[in-house]
Parts: sequence; structure tokens; C-alpha cells
Amino acid sequence: MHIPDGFISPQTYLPAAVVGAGLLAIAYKKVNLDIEKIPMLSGVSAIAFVMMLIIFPIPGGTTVHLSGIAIVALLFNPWMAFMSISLVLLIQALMFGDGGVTAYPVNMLSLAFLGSFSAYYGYHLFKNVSKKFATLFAGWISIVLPSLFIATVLGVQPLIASADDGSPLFFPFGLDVTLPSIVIPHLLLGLLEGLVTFGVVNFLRLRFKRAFDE
Amino acid sequence: MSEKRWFILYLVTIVLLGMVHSIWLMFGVIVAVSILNKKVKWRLLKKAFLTLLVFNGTVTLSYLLYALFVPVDTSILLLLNLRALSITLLTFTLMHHINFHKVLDFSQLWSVLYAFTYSQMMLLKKMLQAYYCGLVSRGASFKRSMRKEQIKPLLETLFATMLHKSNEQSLGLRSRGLLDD
Repeated sequence: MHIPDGFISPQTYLPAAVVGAGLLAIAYKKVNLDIEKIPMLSGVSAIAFVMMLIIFPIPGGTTVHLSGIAIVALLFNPWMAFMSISLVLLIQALMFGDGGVTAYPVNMLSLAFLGSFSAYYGYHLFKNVSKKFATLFAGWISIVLPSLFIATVLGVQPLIASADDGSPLFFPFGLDVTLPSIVIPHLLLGLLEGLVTFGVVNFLRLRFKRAFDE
Repeated sequence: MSEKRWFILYLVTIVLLGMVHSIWLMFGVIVAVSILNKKVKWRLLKKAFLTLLVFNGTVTLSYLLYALFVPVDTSILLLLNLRALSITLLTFTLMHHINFHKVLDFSQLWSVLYAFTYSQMMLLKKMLQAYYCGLVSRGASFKRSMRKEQIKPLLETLFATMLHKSNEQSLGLRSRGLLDD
């Protein structure tokens, strides 16, 4: 789901960087990360990183892959998940070129922020109905909502950044292409993400009970 | 120049590259950065090219297909790809020459979280590669081994090893007074 470099205009990523920096500052104040939790958080973030490694490009301008964001959000909390996934995305962009540095603010807002918070609140919305369904839903929504955001950001590029003759200067396809080609595959991938989230969260809570209860 | 200053200069440069829409400028940046990279120029250029190949190739091809049915300006593709290559090459060049950990040393939380997350990511990547090589050497495929009874012990081993290594690291840092309780 990462957007690479060169697809997003400065008119988009500069305001997104300001918003992202503000949210990170809030996360920094809100997260009281004790030193005992850092190994667990970094371990679960590494699982998210591996899940994001297996990527398939799709014509709409982004990639399809599992994210593992819901796993981090459900095992810790959305602000911690936002911080750690932001860091994972930064490392991916700088070290592996997976997701652009110029697109990083948009990737951070969509995957790390929307993904974490939608998973967390999606789970809490349904947990009284069924915890099993709530976990599956958390995984599904953590993929679908960011994909909708990314499709919208990419799709508006021809409108906000084009030459005098109307030809696009950044991502060339409009919303009519990006919305169906990005969101539809993610609606299906979300089901797999939900199953993986359910399996991994239950497994880690059961097998590493002490680590997550402390 | 300090790591932080190099990083700020890099950020300003990539923002400027997004504001100028000249194919020749992008091409010039690629050539200039390659020359500056001296011995590693081909390695970094190849890495940047391969990173972009699949992804940008997909967008480029789909836009060319789109152009068969709808009259659109395809010259944008060259600018898009050269801009992506120049920014990616600049990123890899910067990461080759600076220690990114020092850029984050303004905050203990960020630098510790970065160090742990990065080391865990590399550890997990290497462990999975070793697991894959182990499967291949035994004549099994990764696809065939993705069964519940095999995934569970794999996940357990991976996570237990990561926790163990992280705890070791935090103990090491704490014993040297680098982490506050």
C-alpha cells in the first residue's frame, strides 16, 4: 500500500508532513513507553515489517500487501502502534526504498495513523458482540480505510498538480481509476488480514501471556 | 558536517526536486550523485533502479495501455520515472554515507525505539532467510511448509528469539548507563 517517490506533489506531502509531525508530537507526549515494553513493541513491529515485505504492485499506483498494523494496535494501543509503525515505514523508505521519502507523510497518515486507530476502535466497537468478529473486523478495517485514503490522495494529484496545458506533473490517473483499482483489491485482502490478525494476536497473547500482561 | 545537517540538506533537495519539472535537471542530479558516489556508484544505481523497476514499471505500463484508448500525454512518464530515480538514488546515497541513528539522537525514546526496531527487523529478516534456505536445502518449498502445524512453532521460535535478543540488548544498554529506568 506504500506510495513510492515522485507520485505525490509537494502541495500534498508538505501539509501532510506538518499534520504527521503534529500527531507524532502528540504520540510522544501520550505514550509512556517504559523500558520493559520496548523489546516487545519492537518485536511485534518487526513482524509487521515482515508482513509488509511481500508486496505486489497494482496498476492504480500502489501495492498490495498484508500490514500487521492491527496486530500492533490490538496488542498495545493505537498511539504506540502509530509511533512504531511510523518508524517501520521510515526505515523501509530510507533503507529499502519501499515507499518513498516524499510520500512518507501520506504513507504515515494512512497506514500508521488511520490503520492503527481504525483497528483499535473497530475492535472496541464490536468486542461486546463477539471478540472473534471484532478482531477479524479490526484487521479488515486497518487495510481498507488506509487504501481508501491512499486512493483518494493519488487520484486528486492530476487536479492539484498539473501543467498549464492540463497534463499531469505527478501521478497521472484520476479518482475514476485509483478508487476501484486500489480499494477493491484491499477489500478482499482485508479478509486475509483479518484472519492473520486473529491468528497472530491470539497466538501471541496465549503463548507470551506474561510478556503482554506485565 | 553533522548527520543532522546532511539529513536536512537532503530533505530540502528532495522537496526542490518535486517543485522543478525538468527532465534534464533530474538527469543531471542522477549523473552528479553517481559521480559523487565514486566506488559504490554502480551498486547504488542498480539498487535504486531495481527498487523502482517493478512498481514504476507497473504504473508506466498501465498508463501506456491507457494511452492506447484515451489521448493522453505520455511524456510525463519520463519525468515521473527520472524524478523517482533521482530521489531514490539520493536516499540510498545519504543512507550509505551517514549514520541515521545520530539524526534521531535529539530524543532518547526515538533513538532507542529506532535502534531496537531496526535490529529486530534485520534479525527477523535474517532468521526467515535462514529458515527459507533450510527448507530449500531439504527439498521442500516455502509454499508447501505454510501449514498450521509448521507455522505455529516457527512463529513461537521467531518471537521468543526476538524477545530474548531485545531483553539482552536492553540489559546491555542499561548496564552501561545508556538507558534510564
